[in-house]
Amino acid sequence: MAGHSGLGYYLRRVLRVSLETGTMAHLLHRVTGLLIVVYLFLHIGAMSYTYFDAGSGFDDLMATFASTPFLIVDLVLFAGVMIHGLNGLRIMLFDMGYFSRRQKELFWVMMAIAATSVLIATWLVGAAHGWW
Amino acid sequence: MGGGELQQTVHIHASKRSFWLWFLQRVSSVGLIVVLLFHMIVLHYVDPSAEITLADTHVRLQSFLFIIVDSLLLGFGLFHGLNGVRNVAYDYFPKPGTRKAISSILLIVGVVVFVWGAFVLVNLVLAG
Repeated sequence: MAGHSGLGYYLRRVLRVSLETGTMAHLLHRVTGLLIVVYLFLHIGAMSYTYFDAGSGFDDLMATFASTPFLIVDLVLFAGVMIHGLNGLRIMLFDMGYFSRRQKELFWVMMAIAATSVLIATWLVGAAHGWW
Repeated sequence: MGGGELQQTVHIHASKRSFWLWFLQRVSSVGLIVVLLFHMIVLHYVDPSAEITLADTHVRLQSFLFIIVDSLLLGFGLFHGLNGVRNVAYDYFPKPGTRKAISSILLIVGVVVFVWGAFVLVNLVLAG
């Protein structure tokens, strides 16, 4: 197994190959997944405010989250969720034997759906907060 | 295009635990697609100008639908996320002892955060 496992093997595999569609999809899936896990813990932490400070603390926190910088972070999160979710759907389709010879095309179709949904969400949030 | 296009037989040797973790990762992902989209669209995108307040949250959690959706979000989200972290970690740490330690830590973190999240959720439901 020497040379075929561990951090060194992983980095060689990822860094030495050119960023082909499959590698890109794999990396995107991991990065978005890990970011969403970090957000999940922050989200559970924020909801804990309802227990620790059930006065105005929670409402103040939510008002802060409604400010422009946090709304942008929200949209980045939405983009991460859409990319991860749609690529996950793509992986499940492979598991079931579908599209395995069309994996690159399917990746770009999924990313086009993700991009469209993020544009719609950005337009809705921007319109509601007077960005345009 | 369709199922069965791969003609070769692939023999996969995996433990029962590996199979179930893989299977539950798929089940939780399908569940998350439904409940997470519902959560994000209803809370943030149906009325993007609405600010979330504690009073609204109490009212929302009087609905059985939201209690179910939020409970599933907590359970599916934690399992899918932490099992995903485990999958990533296994690529970096091949030694069985290290892997066991990682799995144990993630399991403990998952159970503790689930119990805490469920406590916060029950508190929100009862306070409504």
